[in-house]
Amino acid sequence: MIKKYPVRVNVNGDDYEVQVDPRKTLLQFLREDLDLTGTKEGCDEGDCGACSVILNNKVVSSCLVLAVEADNAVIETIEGVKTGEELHPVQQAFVDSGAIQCGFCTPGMVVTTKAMLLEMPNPSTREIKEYLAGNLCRCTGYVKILDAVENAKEILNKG
Amino acid sequence: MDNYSVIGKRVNNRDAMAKVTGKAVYTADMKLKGMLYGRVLRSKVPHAKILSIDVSKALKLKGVKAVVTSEDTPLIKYSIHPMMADKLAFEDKKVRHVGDEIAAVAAVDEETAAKALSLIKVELEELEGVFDPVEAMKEGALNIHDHVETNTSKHFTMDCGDVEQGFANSDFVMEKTFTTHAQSHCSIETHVCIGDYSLDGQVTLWVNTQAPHALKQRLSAALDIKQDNIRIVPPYIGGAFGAKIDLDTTHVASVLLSKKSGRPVKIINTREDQFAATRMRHQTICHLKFGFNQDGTIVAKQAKTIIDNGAYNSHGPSVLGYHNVMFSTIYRVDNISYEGSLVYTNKNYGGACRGYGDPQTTFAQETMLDMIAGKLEMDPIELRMVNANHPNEKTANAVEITSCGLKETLEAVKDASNWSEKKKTNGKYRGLGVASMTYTGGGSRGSGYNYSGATMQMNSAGTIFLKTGATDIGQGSNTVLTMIAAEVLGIEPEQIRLITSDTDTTLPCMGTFGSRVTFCAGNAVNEAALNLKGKILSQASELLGEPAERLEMKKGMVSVSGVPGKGVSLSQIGVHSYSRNQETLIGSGYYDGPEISPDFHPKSYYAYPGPTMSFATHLAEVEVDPETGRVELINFYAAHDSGKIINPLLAEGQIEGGAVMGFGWALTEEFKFDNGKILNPNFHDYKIFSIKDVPDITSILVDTTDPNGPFGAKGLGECAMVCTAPAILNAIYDAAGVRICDLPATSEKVFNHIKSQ
Amino acid sequence: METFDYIKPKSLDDAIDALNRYENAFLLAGGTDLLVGMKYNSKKPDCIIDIKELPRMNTFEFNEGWRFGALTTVRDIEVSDQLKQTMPFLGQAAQALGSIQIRNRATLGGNLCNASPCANFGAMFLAMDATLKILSKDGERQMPLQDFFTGPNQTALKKGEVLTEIIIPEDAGCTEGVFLKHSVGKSNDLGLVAIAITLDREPGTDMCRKIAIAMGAVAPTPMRAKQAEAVLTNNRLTPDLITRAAQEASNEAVPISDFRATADYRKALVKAMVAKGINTLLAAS
Repeated sequence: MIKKYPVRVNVNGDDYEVQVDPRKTLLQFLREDLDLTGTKEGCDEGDCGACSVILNNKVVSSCLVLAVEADNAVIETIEGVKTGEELHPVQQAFVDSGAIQCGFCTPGMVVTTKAMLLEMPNPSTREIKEYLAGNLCRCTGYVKILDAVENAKEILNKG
Repeated sequence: MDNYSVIGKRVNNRDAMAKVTGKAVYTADMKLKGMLYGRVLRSKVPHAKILSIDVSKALKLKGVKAVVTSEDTPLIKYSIHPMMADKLAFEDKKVRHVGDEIAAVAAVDEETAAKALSLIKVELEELEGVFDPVEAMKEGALNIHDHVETNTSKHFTMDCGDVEQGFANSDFVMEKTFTTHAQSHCSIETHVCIGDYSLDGQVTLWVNTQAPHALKQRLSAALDIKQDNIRIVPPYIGGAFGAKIDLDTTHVASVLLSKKSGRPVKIINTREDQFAATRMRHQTICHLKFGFNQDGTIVAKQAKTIIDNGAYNSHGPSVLGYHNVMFSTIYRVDNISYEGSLVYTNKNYGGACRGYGDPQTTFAQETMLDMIAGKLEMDPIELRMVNANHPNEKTANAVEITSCGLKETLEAVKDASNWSEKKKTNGKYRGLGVASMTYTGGGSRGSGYNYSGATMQMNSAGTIFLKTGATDIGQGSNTVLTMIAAEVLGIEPEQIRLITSDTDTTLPCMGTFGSRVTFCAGNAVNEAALNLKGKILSQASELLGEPAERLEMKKGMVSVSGVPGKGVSLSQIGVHSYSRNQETLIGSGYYDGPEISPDFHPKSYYAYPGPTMSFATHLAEVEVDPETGRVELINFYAAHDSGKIINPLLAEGQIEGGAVMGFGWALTEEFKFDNGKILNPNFHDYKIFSIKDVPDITSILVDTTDPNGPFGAKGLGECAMVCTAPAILNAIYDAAGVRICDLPATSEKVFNHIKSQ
Repeated sequence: METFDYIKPKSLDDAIDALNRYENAFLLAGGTDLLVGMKYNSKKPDCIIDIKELPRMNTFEFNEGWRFGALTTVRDIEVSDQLKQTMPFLGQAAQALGSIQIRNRATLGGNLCNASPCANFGAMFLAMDATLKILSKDGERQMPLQDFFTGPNQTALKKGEVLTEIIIPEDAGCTEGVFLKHSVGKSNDLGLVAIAITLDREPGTDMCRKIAIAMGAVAPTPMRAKQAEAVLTNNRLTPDLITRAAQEASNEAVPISDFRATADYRKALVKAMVAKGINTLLAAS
């Protein structure tokens, strides 16, 4: 029998307590144990950003975090970005700017963008590119993603 | 000026909400009851005879529920080209590339499946590997396949006019060899499928395929199972770019493992699998000879091409054909000669990859044009204007050009980039380069078919449904097709309930490739909508007491032209039709065109049966650092002629995405092969562009209308990366005086070229 | 992947104890190198010791020299206002590492102990004459970073030892500095060559009192270009001398040719980047 370890974690405002195989990554834990499949696996080695989640207020690649490391952590995934009935301004901006094609990189992009705007509400274009540099997209060429982020920034700074 | 309600508007992608909230379900997100996890055993050597396969230990491992090998298959070879079928799902006698599939297992979890793979004992007798197509073509080279006499899988020549006479009559003749490298599609979602083989012989495959209806046929043929018993259901797809067209061993494996275990089986490719064992862009060697006059006219052009097939045929035979078509179709040249060879090597094999031979042929030709411009001391844009195609012409290789905005695209990038001014004022190591292209704007009937079907219904409540086999892989066809239907029916696109791709519920569509969906499926949808409209108007005519010709559909109502206030709602018509008249309201449309000319040559694709051609010009501004060879993209301009643009927001998305994929192919992406093994099957060593690498991109959609496309539209998806690389490399020449004729232009290569100047 | 015990010690002593108890225990800091190693089966721990909660190891301060706790994240270095004022080149080295997702987890200690030949902080701290504080059950010892790297992914750490602190001496002469990396793309990239330079000049002049030039990815370990430094020390930084020094550094570099780049190209990059680095510093003043 594999020895399991407790993972007591708050994800998108909900508390969970699960006994977890220590080899499981946070990404696998979110997708398989908590059925939160919005966070995606693109490479499983921290190169593509598709698995980005906010862990204790910092955006990380969940494929490079063991689930057991997240014991007592507070986590936000794409499913937690929208609260209530309306889309979060970042999400709305992505929709309105044409920044979503196949959508597979979108959860990671949105989560990372949200983390960025919480940390720095008024990033320059250069800073935006720096912050999103670890999120790969093959469909959009990033042009409308940049538009979306700039638009979201405007909206959040106004409201 | 068009007066459309919906066509031409920047309508949001209708799937964006589901995707931006994380709710969209992709294949890997699905979990079925009792589901097992499958893994495929792949060869680690490039060329070997299979002496024995012993799965006994794997079968005994606790948690393993099934193991399959070639013995579990009907040993039917397949390929996208059935006449050239050369691949078994699991090889029984020989492996021909690193990654070639040998067996598969299904177990209760991924870890057990992986462990089971390691317990399968395969005895191989290694053979010498052939990795260079030029070597592989030679007399006496080791044969990779037994069904052909040499490693040349396909060969053809095509001659139009008289090139020798043409060269003799030219003021100048120039020759050069160009090589292009492989490329990985790198969709962020890998190949995933879930196969379910039920006790009563029904097969369901949930899979991220670009071509569900065609896949059904191929799966049926490969497994010798009746098509009637197969259902293919694609969930949301995370990008494809051509990688997800073919029948893949994982599809066969998941179905057979399910049959054996009695449970659904999910197989997920890792990123390493994706790089190392799924298709890639074909590598090419292309020797060009051009004859041209002082005034810039190209008198004659000749290409001799070798395409490195890799170990199996996949799309190789048609990619070679397309390499010829796109070489021969662009520019008004009367004398054309083409010789092409498709050669097997012991490497992972090429398949359909965005552009399908066109980026490769365009790199060669557009670099050659730049060299010609240099020789003539002529402006490269001017040179292309001299030779540009005109609308409504037939080319020397018998391709019908209908709409053509090539000249407009050249003008557009010239203006947008301030080309003339910058050419004079740009400092040393800063340069501009341009390249143009053509590609089909609606697939082709080269295989004999180019079909798309659609049905539309209105129910008794006035709700409108659209069902079509066309698959959205991220490019936005769901939005475009509902926009077309909405325009016809005078409603909002969002009102339409859409069902696509599921082979049980939709009319067949050949698939999403060849930039064919807007044109072909669009035409089918247009026809279905018009069909439905006719029936709606007929019912409305009864209700309103007016002849149908006086009625129009607008804003969800049917009203009498010029008579405000006199109209009926769709729900009223629904009730009238179903309850009163017991008449259903269903319209259908089917496209399969164009007519195939009797002159069509199925090997060389002379008289290529494409319904329309799209055109584009790309212009790059770069800065080169001579100390390191690094090429910095400063600005990029892309002007496209794709007929009437149904949705500019989505069209720009294709241009921008395609251009950036082209940037990667030109500068940073490179497979590192070592005796058939790929050394860099990951994103940190195979570098695609990140947001930091991308310059300002200006997309321009020129104004043309195609006579045969829905509302005048033509395809765009692949055009977006066809002429990107030569635009950049021509800019590198302008900046640093180095002519690089083999892609990619890595910083080391650029540095070495500059150093040896 | 075989399973392993997972321990989250509250004290360094407990961590060291676990390191000694198990045959093949690994310390887990940010995990950005360790987890990749485990997935590729190059690292097979029987125990993972999660040291992230160890006290007083994830901050830095100036106290008779700069003292960086080994668990300081690369991101903390990148965003520190204090460092932006005093040693902005540390922020450059940080920003050139991975992506934001990686930097939020990766630690200085992890970067050094993983000992990649192109470790950003290997080169950067080498150019700052760093000293390492190492703790074991036998107590504390100090070691110059110069002696720490013993080969590709190999360090002088003995079993049961933990790197706790990186110390930059007060007289390290790091008035100015720069970190440069040449990679294929602009983000999340392995460097083909990394150059870290620190410089101390006679104020307001181009007279070099002390210079350190460290290089990454051009030898089995990060290394100093001592010959190049000698060319410039106590001399004016003229264009000719900079070119000579850059050439010296290139000569000292012993890169391999691999599928990423040839040795010749890496040497050419060293020459270009050393010159560029020094010229950047001169231009800034």
